[in-house]
Amino acid sequence: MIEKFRNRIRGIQAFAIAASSMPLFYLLSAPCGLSCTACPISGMCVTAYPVFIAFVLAAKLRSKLKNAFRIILDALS
Amino acid sequence: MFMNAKLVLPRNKLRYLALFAGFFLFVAPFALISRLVYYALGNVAEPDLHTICMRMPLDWIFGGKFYQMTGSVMAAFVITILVVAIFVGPLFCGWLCPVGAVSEAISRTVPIPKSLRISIRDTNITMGLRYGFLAGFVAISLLLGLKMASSTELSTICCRYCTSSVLQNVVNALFGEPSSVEYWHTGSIIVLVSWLLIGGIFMVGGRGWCLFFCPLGALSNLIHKGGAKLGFFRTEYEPKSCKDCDECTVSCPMWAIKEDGSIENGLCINCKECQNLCLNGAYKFKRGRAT
Repeated sequence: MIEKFRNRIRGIQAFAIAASSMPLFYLLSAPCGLSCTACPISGMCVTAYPVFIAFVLAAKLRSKLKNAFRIILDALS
Repeated sequence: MFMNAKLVLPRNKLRYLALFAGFFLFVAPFALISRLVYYALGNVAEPDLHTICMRMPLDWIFGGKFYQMTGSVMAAFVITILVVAIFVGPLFCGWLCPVGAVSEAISRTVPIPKSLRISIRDTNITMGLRYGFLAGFVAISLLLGLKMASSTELSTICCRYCTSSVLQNVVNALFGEPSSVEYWHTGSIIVLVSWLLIGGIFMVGGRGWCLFFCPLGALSNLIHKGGAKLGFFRTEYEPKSCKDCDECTVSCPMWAIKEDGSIENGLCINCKECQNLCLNGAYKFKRGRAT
């Protein structure tokens, strides 16, 4: 019963975040509807996307990266 | 991953054939459905995917611009999809949509490790996000419809983030008619990356765009959920036959299978992947009141 309620709350939280972020994203990306030059960051999203994807991949591979760093540090010390 | 693909392909071949046909039915230079409609109406214009736009009628409905729907081929097309969704579920999404088909095909063919693919196992969160984005789409359409927000920069939301338009422009380029450079300097790059890279390659099932950003898909599923409650066709889970192998959960492109194995009709597109994979027949496409 409590678990069901908790799941429902999680769903409502996700709904609220999505519903509020959509109009915000729409307004922020308004210049994209015209051209890159109309944008205050002048097309920096082209750089931002790979960085975002790199962060996601790093988060997914966190444990493997930690191990790799440990091996490198061990080798150096 | 390739092992799975080999297992799945022959079993659900009718669906893959339908998705392949969907490309030729809707995307120019073929656009067979649009050509047929134009021929019937005596229109001599060259049709493309935009002839039967799947998003603009929704913007008209939510924005209160009903007068634009009169005699519109697009509106008739979208209303047909929604009516079909009441009785047999969002079959267009699962069996014909070229946008979903392309991202799903890319997801199945690009060999990245499973550990890099993103998925949400909790259907409550997926549902919340999906319908939250739909609510946002409705709110923006309504605000723009009421002219509470308008400027040259704020074009209609359906055209700003249009996967159909991006797909058509990519196909046009492949057939030797590249779009203007300006087109690729706009939000279309955001759409391309979100649709094929993040939503396609990096999401389990490759239907991230369909799940979170397609307003027609979300609306069809909402209607299907209502139709399923009324006893119309839906995919139903039979726990007695389930052997807890978890193959269905992994194969579902819409993340519609709950932890207990039951189907969330607000996400299911009746693609029959679970039915075809389940050797024990735990999923059945049926109608009638829920038992």
